[in-house]
Amino acid sequence: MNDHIVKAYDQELKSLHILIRHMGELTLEQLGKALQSIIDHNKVLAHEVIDQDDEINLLETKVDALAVRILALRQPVASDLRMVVAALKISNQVERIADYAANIAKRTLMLHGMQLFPEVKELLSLVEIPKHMIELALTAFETYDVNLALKVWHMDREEDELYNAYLSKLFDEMIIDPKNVGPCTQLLFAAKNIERIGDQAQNIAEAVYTMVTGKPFKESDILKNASEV
Amino acid sequence: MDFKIDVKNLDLFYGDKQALFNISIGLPEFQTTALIGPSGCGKSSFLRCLNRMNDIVPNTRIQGQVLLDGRDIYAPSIDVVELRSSVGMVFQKPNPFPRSIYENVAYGPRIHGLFKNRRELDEIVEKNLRRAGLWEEVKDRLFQPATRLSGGQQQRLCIARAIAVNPEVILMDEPCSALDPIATAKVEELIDELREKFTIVIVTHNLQQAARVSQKTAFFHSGYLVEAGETGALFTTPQDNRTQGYITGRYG
Amino acid sequence: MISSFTKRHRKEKWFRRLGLASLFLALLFLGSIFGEIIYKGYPAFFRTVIARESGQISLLNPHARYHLSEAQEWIIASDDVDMYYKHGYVGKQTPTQIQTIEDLKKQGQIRLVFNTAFFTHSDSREPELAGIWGALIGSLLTLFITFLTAFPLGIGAALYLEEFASKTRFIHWIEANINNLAAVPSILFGLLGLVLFIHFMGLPRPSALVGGLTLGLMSLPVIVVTTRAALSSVPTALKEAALGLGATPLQVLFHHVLPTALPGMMTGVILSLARALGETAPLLMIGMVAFIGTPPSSFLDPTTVLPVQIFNWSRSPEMGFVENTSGAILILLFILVLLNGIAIFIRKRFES
Repeated sequence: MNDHIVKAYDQELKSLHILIRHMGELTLEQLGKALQSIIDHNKVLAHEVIDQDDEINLLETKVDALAVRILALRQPVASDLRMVVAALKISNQVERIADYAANIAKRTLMLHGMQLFPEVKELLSLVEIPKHMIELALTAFETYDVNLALKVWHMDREEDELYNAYLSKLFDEMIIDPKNVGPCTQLLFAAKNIERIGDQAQNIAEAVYTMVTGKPFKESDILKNASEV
Repeated sequence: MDFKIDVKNLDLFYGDKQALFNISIGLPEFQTTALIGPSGCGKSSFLRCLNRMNDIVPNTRIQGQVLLDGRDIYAPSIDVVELRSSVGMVFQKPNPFPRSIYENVAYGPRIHGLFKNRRELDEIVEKNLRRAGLWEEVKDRLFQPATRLSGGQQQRLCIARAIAVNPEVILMDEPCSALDPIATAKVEELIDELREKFTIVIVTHNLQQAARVSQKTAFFHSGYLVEAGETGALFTTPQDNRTQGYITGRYG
Repeated sequence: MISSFTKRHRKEKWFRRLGLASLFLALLFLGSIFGEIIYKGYPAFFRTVIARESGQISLLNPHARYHLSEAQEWIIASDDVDMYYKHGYVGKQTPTQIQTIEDLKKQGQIRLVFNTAFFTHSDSREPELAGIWGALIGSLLTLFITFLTAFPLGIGAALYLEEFASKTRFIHWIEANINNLAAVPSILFGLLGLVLFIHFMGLPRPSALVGGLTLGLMSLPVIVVTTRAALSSVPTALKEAALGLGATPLQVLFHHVLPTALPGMMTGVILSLARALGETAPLLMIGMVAFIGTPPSSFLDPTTVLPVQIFNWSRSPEMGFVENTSGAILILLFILVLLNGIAIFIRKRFES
């Protein structure tokens, strides 16, 4: 796409991209640390994650302010308008993801003093797909790549299967020994949070789809197209 | 869908130079259609084809059809004077006649003989000044020169003058380009109200204005109609890259 | 930077001073010309008269002597007496005559009165009896013919060219030639009049008709040019507004274009008539230079006009005619200023 005649306008739109990318990187870092804290039973790291959440909230308000400013001053239309609206939505999703990361860190504090399971380590593999989804979705946002967005959207199904498998494992543990119910519930919450992160990443992909094509995202259309391809 | 004005394969030539290329577009009745595009794209020329205002420019030539209610306005049987009484026009710069406010509105009814006596004429003048939202502002000075009104008032007077001959279509050529934002808002509100009774075509350089007042928008570029469609759709999801580039303010 | 500014300001200052200086120079010339004319001309409005009871017949105007029987208290003096009384100019008078005049002065039997004859008489061989009446009537009749020829033809041509003619090469050619005609020396129009009206059509020679037609030819291109300028200065927006309401081109012309252009058109017509009023050369060319002692009573009578009268008087040897020349010039200037004033008034009045 060509540059705008008004260069400052381009700069502002670019700033939106940069802010969101920064949010995404921080959020991924938070997510990694949260997982690490739960696996290592590291309370200090968990607190660090919880404290850092404010920074991401602050970034979200920055994105909001800049987007509103662009809407008021530049009165964007067409693809520009869709990009600004998408940025508003995506910053909101990323902020939610960061909240989930903080929630996972809170589980670390709850698990403190409880017995550890080998299943804890499996959280690491559970979070791999959502992390990848976030990365790809944000790349798709920056590069206006609708195919990449669709790919991200489809990845969520895979994640759901992993999540369901992990749930049954936890239920097995709880059935084996009722003492496991406490720590397993905490792990269950953490897993649920990770699964929600996948959903949020899917929402980002949907926002990117609407931004690029200008069409509302309809699940039935996408599934139909996917089966045709 | 039936259109109030249906343009089919219209070409316009000024001498050897072709100004419009194969324009086909339908203008829906009781809607406002906005014509946008860069300077010299042909949107004003196109507007002037709709009431044959181009006839007064020497060496103009037309090919194709402009159908008003299904009748080709370029057919030999069409009386241009009659056509212009049913397709009114409002111009870029407010151009009231250098006469009284009353006489400006009364002029059209006078030349077309639309009244029987002075009282009927008074009523026509009042009615149309009211429709143009100007009555309250000028009722005490109807016989003062129209040139003493402010720019915005003058433009609304020109609209009152245009609708006083009961046209079916009103063509507006950048009617707000010389007005301040408040006067512009008043004219835009007026356009919205007039839509109940008239079919309106407006040329504007102000994209926000096109977005605000029109239901259909047509984008012209170098004499071609690039894209036309529902205004909301055109401004959020234009189909053509040239439209996209123009409305978002990017290089060609 | 600073020095460049001062330099530029200085340049501007000098330029202004230069302009002011040339303005003053022009005013000086104008003032001295007017001063000279007024100084020389105003005595023409007064005439020396001698009391009837003095009985000094030799000092009276030769024609006035015939009126001695009439019951007039004061009788016009001869031009020599007039010159001596006004200016102390001796001329061909004998010392006795001079002495008599001095005596009359002492007795209060010689004095100056307002010279009504200057306005009511026609040309005469005697400067003290000569007046501008005949020339004024001649100018009026001539100008009337000029107006009748130039006004309808000029306005008609201009309207056609500006509003109706399609812009073909032929029309452009005609336009260019009309513009050129407006700049042609007036004496050439005299030649044209001579050939066309006198030799070809055989109209009577020094008549108001021929003079008026010739001046009409001369004014025609100027009227066409100024009228076209007035018409083309009518805003297109105004015409479009009327056309857009469904007015026919003729309605647009009569309802909007003409009323708007009228002040400009009238100004052009008045100014070109003023020019025709002051024109001499083409009239000399068609022979309107003869001595005409009676005011014309029809357009075919021998006629003289004001500027030609001035020209004739200025060539006469008598001292009295010098005064008359300047007096007539004053009258002519007054009429021209009046006409210009009317033109300015019309423009101001209708422009607002």
